[in-house]
Amino acid sequence: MKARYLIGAIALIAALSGSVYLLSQSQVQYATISEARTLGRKVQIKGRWDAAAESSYDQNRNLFRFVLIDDQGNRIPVEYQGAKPNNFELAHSVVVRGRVEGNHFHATEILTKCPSKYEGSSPMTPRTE
Amino acid sequence: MLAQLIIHLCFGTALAVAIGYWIGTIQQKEAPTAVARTLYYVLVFLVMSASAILLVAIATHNFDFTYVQAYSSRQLGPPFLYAAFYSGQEGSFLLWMLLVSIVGIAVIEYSRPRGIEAETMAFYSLVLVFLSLMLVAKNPFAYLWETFAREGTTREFIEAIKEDPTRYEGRGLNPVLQNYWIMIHPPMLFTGFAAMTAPFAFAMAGLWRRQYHDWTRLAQPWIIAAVLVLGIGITLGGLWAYETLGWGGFWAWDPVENSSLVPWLLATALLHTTLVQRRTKGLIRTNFILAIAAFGAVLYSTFLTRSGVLGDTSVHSFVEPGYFVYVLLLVFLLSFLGLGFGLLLLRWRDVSTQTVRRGMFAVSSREFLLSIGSILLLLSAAIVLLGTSYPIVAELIGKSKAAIEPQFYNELHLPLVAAMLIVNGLSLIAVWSQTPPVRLAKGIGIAGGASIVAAAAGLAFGIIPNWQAALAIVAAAIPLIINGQHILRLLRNRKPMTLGAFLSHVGLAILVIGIVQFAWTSTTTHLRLVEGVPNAAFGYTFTLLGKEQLEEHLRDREKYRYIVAVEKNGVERYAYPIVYYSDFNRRQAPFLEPGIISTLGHDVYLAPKALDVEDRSPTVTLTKGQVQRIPIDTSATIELRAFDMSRAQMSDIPGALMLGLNVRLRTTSATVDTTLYTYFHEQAFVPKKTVIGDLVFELIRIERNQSNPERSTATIRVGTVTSPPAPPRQVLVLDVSLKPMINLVWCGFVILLGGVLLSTIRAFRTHHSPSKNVQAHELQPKQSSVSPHSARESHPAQSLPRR
Repeated sequence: MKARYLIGAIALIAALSGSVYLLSQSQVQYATISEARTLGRKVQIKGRWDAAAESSYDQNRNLFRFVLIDDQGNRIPVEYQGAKPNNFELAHSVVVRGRVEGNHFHATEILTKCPSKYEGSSPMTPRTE
Repeated sequence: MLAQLIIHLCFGTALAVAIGYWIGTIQQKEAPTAVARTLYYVLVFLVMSASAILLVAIATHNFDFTYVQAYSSRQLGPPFLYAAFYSGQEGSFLLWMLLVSIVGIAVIEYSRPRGIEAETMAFYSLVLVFLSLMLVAKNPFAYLWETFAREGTTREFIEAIKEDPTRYEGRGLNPVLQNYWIMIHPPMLFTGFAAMTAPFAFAMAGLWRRQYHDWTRLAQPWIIAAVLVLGIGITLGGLWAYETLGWGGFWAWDPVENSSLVPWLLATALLHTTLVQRRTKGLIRTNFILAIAAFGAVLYSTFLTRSGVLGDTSVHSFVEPGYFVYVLLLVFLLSFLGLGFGLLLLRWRDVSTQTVRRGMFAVSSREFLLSIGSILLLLSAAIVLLGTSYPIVAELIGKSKAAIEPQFYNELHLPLVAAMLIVNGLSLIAVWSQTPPVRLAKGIGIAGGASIVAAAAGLAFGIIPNWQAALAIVAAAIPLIINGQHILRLLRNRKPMTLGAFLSHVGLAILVIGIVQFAWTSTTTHLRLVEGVPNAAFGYTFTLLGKEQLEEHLRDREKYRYIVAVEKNGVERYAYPIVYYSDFNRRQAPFLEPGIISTLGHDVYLAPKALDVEDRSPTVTLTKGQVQRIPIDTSATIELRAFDMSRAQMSDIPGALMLGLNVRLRTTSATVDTTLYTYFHEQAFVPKKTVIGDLVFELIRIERNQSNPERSTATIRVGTVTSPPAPPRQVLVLDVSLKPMINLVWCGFVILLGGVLLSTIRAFRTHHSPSKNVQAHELQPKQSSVSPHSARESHPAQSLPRR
């Protein structure tokens, strides 16, 4: 009886600690641009895209470039291996996942969040302006 | 007003039903139970009426309702119009409520003759109380003038615009949801959720009545049904992701997907552990824990995906539902977990006084191996749960917010699933109670040997990409062979209805082989297809032939399918990637759907990424004030003097903006001031020809610089009267991938679910004729020391007296 519980517990602890270790390895922290620069490892930055700066898509290299402003107001040029995401212009916030490489941020993923009024608001409100 | 009233009545009635059944449970009397039952049918009628009203409102485009306005439009026809029913929070809660209440009728019919109606329904109806409370909070019948009162929308205003079809119009359905697979995906998931409620209620009633064994038999058909329906729902989601989203895969470990996988894994574990309990009288507490946890996982899944708590970590968009709903969902989850585990703790010691079985399972017994298999399923569920919840956990313990990479799930699941498959093979060689070592060794020797030889050959011939994949394929081939042997044996004995379990295992093994091959041998390349110019990749030749517009009669969209000829060895096939501009996002960016060419061995997957045009005639690009020489006649110059928007709204093409460009043309003989025009229509420029002398000009592009209008540019195409400017060529930028073995993946899903379907049919049939109560696993050589079912258990009338 006791041995069964002991073996079970050891196996469970081993499995869980193994997965927690892997979890810590594969988690991607939220960071600011300056933190991302010092950390150097893969992080995600929440911010918005800089509409004043140029954004471009290089079709031959399949590279999308834009400038990200984080919540503290710092800027960094972002290079993303892929096309411009849908709704990029409409997004009120952008989350990029990747790492800082030299002067730019190399993103492997971009998530865009659209304003909530775009999600569910009514176009039938009388315009006040 | 009536509809809103019905929703409130639903809540009142559900509460009354619950109270009635609880009084019936506590007082042990039939009268309150009978009243509750009658009220239950009233409740079902009310929920059906509410659903009918919503459906009619959607069908008749009654945009007075905020919900109808937000998720449908006049442009939407059947069948997608009706998908609006559950496209939002409010409607999906109504659908859930509807399905739970309908399933409840079956639960009443099922539990009443067995004398456990009051207890079962006492717990079951509590779920309905919560769901109807949720509907009161998120009422699908709120009017626009109620929802947007603060924004100044009044009833009078809505009445006033009612006659104007352009203003009295809905927002429509998100284009990515306009797909058949995803249309039946939510009803499937919610049916699965509803089916999971029944085993929970049976388990709780069993605990309440101190009958710790009987419920596993009663719940079995429902558990299998839940595994089936949830499984179909999950598969449909994968099909949709592959066909519509263009991710290139069918599973991305997204929180939304994960949260529907966890209940499925728990239900599947429960299916196996209740089987063990029915045979051995063991695992009593385990099964109670699992039944509560599986239902808890359904509620947790809803909490994760409906409360907005994971807002930043998923590619699915989450709507913030408001603080009240967040709290309500959390209370919903915690109450049922508290209720379940609380009652279990109360009965914890009592269970051991009634346990028939003592001591542990023999290591060589089937029950032991089934338990190990279930533990592996639980580990998988724990991993998925941990990864999905990590962002919340991190926030709770004060660490910085983080998301989890898919590799976490992949790396952990590879060994886990391999172990699961081997254990499955072993459990089917083993027999109940104890297996002679020779039998075990012989069985595993044959299957394992054959698998290793097959995988080694695959590796040697380069079919299997690497040794990890080979190991996984060995692990999958073992149960494939062993289950195959069982299937052949059963077919010889003409017992096709007993195949279910074995078929599912075969399906799982095929699925795993498919996934391993798919994951390690898919390749992607980036192509820029210029109309008419062939490009080669993966031994295929890709040529963009053009595009054609789809669904032209619908005004809310502009949808094109691009025609790409895909040729190999003289055989030409066509792929149709779709580019879809919709009013849903004000046509700001297109929705892109992949084009897929299916062959037996692999799919060619064309995911569109961007669109462009390539000019064939010479062009000049100018900013304001700039002077440039004309490419085909360098003696002449052209100057951009101003952007002219004066005729913007006076276009002769309906719906187009007419944009002008004031230019000065200087040739050796004359200076001409003129205005070039272009129509901006449906995200494209349609130039108007301007002829000056023998030169022809077309204004083909204006690029506005938002921050500095002075730096906006205009592009002009130039030709001559004898060789006029040629229209540009279309360019489609694609990610082209080769997806080997994807058909094996779908095939695995179909066989897995087909097996479960067979088991579901059999389980419900068996319960109508209790005498034929034989399980698939029991069709083994009878070496078991425990009788299949004690007479006391299979006859509800003779069940244990209460207390």
